[in-house]
Amino acid sequence: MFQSDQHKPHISGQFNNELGTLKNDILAMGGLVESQLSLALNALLEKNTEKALQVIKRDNEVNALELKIDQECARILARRQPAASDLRLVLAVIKINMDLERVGDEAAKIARQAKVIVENSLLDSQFVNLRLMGKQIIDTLRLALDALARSDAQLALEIVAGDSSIDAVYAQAMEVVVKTMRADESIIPVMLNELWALKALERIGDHASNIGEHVIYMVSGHDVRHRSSAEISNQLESP
Amino acid sequence: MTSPIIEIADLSLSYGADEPVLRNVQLTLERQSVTAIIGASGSGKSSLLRCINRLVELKPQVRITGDITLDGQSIFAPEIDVTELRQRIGMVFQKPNPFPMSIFENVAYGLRLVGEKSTRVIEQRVEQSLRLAALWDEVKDRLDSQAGILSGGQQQRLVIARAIAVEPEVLLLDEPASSLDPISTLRIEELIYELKSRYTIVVVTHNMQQAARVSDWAAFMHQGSIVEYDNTTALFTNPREVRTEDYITGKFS
Repeated sequence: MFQSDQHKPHISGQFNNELGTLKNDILAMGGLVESQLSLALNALLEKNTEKALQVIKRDNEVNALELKIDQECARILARRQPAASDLRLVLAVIKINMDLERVGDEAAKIARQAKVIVENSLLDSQFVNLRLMGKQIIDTLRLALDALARSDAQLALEIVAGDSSIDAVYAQAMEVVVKTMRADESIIPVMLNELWALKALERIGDHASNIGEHVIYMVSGHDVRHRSSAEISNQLESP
Repeated sequence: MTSPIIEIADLSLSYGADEPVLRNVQLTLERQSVTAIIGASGSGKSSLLRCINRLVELKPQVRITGDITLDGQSIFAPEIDVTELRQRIGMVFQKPNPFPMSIFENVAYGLRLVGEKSTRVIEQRVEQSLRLAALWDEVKDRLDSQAGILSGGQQQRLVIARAIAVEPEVLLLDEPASSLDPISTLRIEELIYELKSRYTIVVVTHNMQQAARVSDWAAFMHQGSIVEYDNTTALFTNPREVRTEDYITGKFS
């Protein structure tokens, strides 16, 4: 349950339950996707095929939960005609659900890369940049989910603002990858895998930032997409 | 708001020594748009509507302070003729109330009342009003039949035709669809949408989804006061007041 739920319940207990289930499910989706990402990164960094296979297998669960949440949203829209914060909650959940499912897809991609790397015994990279960026992305995703769970627009704003620093880390990592390839052609196949994994992480960072934007909309009613973080800050301060 | 037609300023209303029914109501109604007034029973929305055409004065011991202006002129000014005012501000009630006469005479009634003598003008106006009320095709072959044979939804559209036959500027609708089935309700809502290009419409409704569907502006009333007044999309997606939020989301308050 979201922490902002301490306020008044609906007169319709049934509607309360439906919204409660929706919130629990989107948080469960977040938890599942976060563990998929951790596992996929571990698979890659530890060169562990077992973990990689587990991630690939569990992607079905992510997809099934995505469908379930979508159905719940459609049912609430059709049967309850939610308004105000209830409406914004359902709209935000629909979009967050989509972003989380994509994070799941990216995690599965990383896992597939890990599998290829192990199968081809391309074991000589330590994936230094991947390790660094992976940790940063997992932290960001976790914060985005915290912002969702706590209905915390301020925290969500920090995530949106932080996306440019992730992009900078990504650009730096890419530079290193290119330099390494130039220096040693034999390492190109491994580095390509690292590059794809980096790209997947960068995309996950974008999805985390999107989730932050949806949380801001859900809490404040401001649609802050396509705005700079300074503009968003101003908008949140004005009533 | 670009073109106000009615301005309600600091309007309070009470009956005898009872608690006031309306408390310092401020509301500006925009020309040729639909304003919905929502709120729980007893919040004062029907009383407010009945102030706008001075129908409320028919109740005993009524006390009104503040002012309502129509096109800048106070409706309470001594030189105002109340019958003429009610011609400019028409009203339709919750239960369709056709008069016990023919369909044609129901619509012609108001015209005759305001002294229209020409049969040709009356016939023209009756047809035009029935067309505007989206009822013409259903009744054109039986204009001499009693209005009572029409369905509830048709009767309500007949009453709207009667109201618009005298060419009012403002139409007040008090729960116009609450006694109708869903399809008739949608017809009335469609009619409201069609009519707003010609009239300013104020609709009081218990049905929040209906208010959300038909109105451009929405006011939420609670205990005789306007809690919040905003464009309808803003009010239904991001209300500023907690009491509005609680009411439209159906929470305890």
